[in-house]
Amino acid sequence: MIKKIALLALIVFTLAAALLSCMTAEKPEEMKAEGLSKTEFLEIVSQCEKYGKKFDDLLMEETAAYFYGFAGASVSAMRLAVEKILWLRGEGDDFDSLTEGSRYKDWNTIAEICYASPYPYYFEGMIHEMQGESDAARSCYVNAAMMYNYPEKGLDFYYLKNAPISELYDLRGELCGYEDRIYGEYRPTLYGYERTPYNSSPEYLCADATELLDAGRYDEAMIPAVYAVRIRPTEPECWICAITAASYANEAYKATKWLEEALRYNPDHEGLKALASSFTDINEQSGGEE
Amino acid sequence: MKARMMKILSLLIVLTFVFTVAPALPHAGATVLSDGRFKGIDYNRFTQRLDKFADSFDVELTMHTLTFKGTLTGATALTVEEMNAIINEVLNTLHMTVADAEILSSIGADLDGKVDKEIAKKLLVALSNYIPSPTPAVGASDVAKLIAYGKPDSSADPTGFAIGVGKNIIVDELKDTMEKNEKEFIQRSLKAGKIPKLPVSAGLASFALDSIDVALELADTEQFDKFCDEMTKQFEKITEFYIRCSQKMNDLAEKKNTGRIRISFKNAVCDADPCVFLGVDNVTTRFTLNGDLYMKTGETVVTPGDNSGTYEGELTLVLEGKDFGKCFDARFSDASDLYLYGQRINDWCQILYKFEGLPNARENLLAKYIPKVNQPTVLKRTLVGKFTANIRSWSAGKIKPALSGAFNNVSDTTEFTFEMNFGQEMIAHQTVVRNLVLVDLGAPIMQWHVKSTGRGLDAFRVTWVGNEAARVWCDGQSIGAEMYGGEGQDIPITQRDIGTVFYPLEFAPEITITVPNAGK
Repeated sequence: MIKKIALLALIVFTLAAALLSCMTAEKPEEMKAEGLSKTEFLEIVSQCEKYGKKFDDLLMEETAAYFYGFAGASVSAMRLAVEKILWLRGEGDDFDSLTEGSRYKDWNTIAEICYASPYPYYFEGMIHEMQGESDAARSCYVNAAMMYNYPEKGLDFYYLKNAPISELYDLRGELCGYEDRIYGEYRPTLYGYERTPYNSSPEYLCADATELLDAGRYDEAMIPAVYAVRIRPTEPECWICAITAASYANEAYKATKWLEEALRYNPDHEGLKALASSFTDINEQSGGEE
Repeated sequence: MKARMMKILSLLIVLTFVFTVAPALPHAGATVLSDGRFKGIDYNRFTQRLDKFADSFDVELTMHTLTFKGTLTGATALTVEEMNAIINEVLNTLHMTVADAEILSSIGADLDGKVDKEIAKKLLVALSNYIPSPTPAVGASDVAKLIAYGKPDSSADPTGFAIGVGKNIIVDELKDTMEKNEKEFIQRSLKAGKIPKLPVSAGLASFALDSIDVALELADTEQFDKFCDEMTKQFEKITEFYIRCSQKMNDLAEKKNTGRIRISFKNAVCDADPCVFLGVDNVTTRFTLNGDLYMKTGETVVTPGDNSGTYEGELTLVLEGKDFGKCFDARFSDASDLYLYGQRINDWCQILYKFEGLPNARENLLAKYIPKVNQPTVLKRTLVGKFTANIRSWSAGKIKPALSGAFNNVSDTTEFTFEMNFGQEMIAHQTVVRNLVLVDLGAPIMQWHVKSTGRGLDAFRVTWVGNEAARVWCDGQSIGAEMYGGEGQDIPITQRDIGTVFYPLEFAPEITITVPNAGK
């Protein structure tokens, strides 16, 4: 009797184990990965896109550029990574033909769309790692993982390396769809600003802008200054660097638009308020002169 | 009694103050500029403008060789007082003050079209206001520091973000963090591609509201949502202010300008080239144009300085004979080769020949009984047409609106009065043929009284006054046919007879408006 009960228990246990095993096998590979999932990643992209639109409607152009840029740089980085994997796995005659029709095809350009996004560095590192370039990979990972916007959960998209080819093509198509939507609303202005691991630091960017201001290179000073503004618009210093550079570069429109947006974030800043008053006087005068 | 009067007077003064000043409270703290505008209100964001605009423009209507001078009376702008009254009204409604609007106003939105070095120079002057005077030569970064900190040296504030901290110092700090992170990264011996978040270096990218981690929490960040809501509210409020003001100003502008904006022709006269009329050449005529085309208001916003729009109305064109006594009446008998006229002359010649046996009857007739035009001939064709002129855009130069309509689509009336006396005398009398035969031969007065509608002179209604034009009597009985009775006859007239008098009317009219460069 005991043997029968034991046998029955064994059968039940075996069936349960088999069922559990089957259930585990059906679970998508993505769910097994640790860190931020693809779905979560795309949700972030969608959220940023939504905020880009919102701030665009509020006429806060640089804030809108940040959100659209973050969404664009992130999704473009993942798309480029997928294309690199396809290429590494023998798809396409060469990389150019494989990526024909894709928007941005190098990491530096994608990173410049938004230096606040950790994804260009992360995916670049991942591709290096897949090719056995450990040092380059580590360097990229460190640059990405220490960025403020790197997700707390971490990232793990390495499973893409072994994903079925058809799934990779599907994913590329999906990501291209996101890019079409984002870049349909926002066309990033790229200046070819040198990519360094410090470009996500508004302090570094402002320091660079300041050095350029002192060197009398006002046009060039506007570039790091506006990147600093996009990364941290709450910081009045970033705006002041940008406004000063624009004023010295004879870019009156940019200077006044930036001052306007700076005041949205810092309505009580004495320097900005005083500057606004002076600018308003100028505006009133020029309006009267017309 | 006197004290009581004073009390009443004081009360009246207080009440007057309350009722006159209270509505103006929204701008109580506002600075009024020398031209009457409130400082801080961006008047360029209103649809209506305060600028001085030209409101009268030369117009020409041309038709073949005819040119008529006219005028376009453009929209008149609102005054600064009218605009300010609306601004106050809207501020009251929205419970705002000018100061609220000033903070939220776009400082540079109106600079789009006029970004130039001149304004940039002024900005630099504004920036230089931050430089203490007397001051040594300072660089742009010093100006930035002055704006940010109110002093040229930020190194005294070691905490937080600071302009003027050397790039090298920041790079060194960032490098330190990166090196530490790299060591930690290696120590963790992580699995491929699985990268955790590493300690963040101060100053590395974070967006707005530092609590935002651009991850899933992004949308849930209370602070950020609060910021977005505040921005949206501010934006909506100021947008509402400018929209409401613009709507009210548009309404007032429309009210002021309804019936005013128009293309007018007032007794615009043009002499046509000499023409041929009823067989007489070198006949002179004159055209006169009158009427107004009014801009349709209500469909588009009336904006001074831009008088584009649809203009509709009736124009009346009158063609009249000019100096007909000389050029037509006096020359008709000699010069006209009018068919009808010639026919009649021939008829008379036959009668004369029959009864008088005169050779060269025509010459004799004309020599003996030269026909005379009894009164100045009147030719007047009046055409009334409904027109629509569409001015699609307004800019300096020559503007040619799309013009539709025609000069006869309402009415077309021609009056033609012409009276010719062939002589009322007895030409032949009492000729005996066999028995007593009395022959009266008298020339009638030929009168053409024409009033036609349609395409001018399609048909003449001819009246022959003198109902016994040619009558042959025998024993008191008429034996000859009455040539032309007193009743009028409709005699068709050909285009050849009319000649070229109406030729200019065959051309479509065109309107040209001249907007000078200093149109504003």
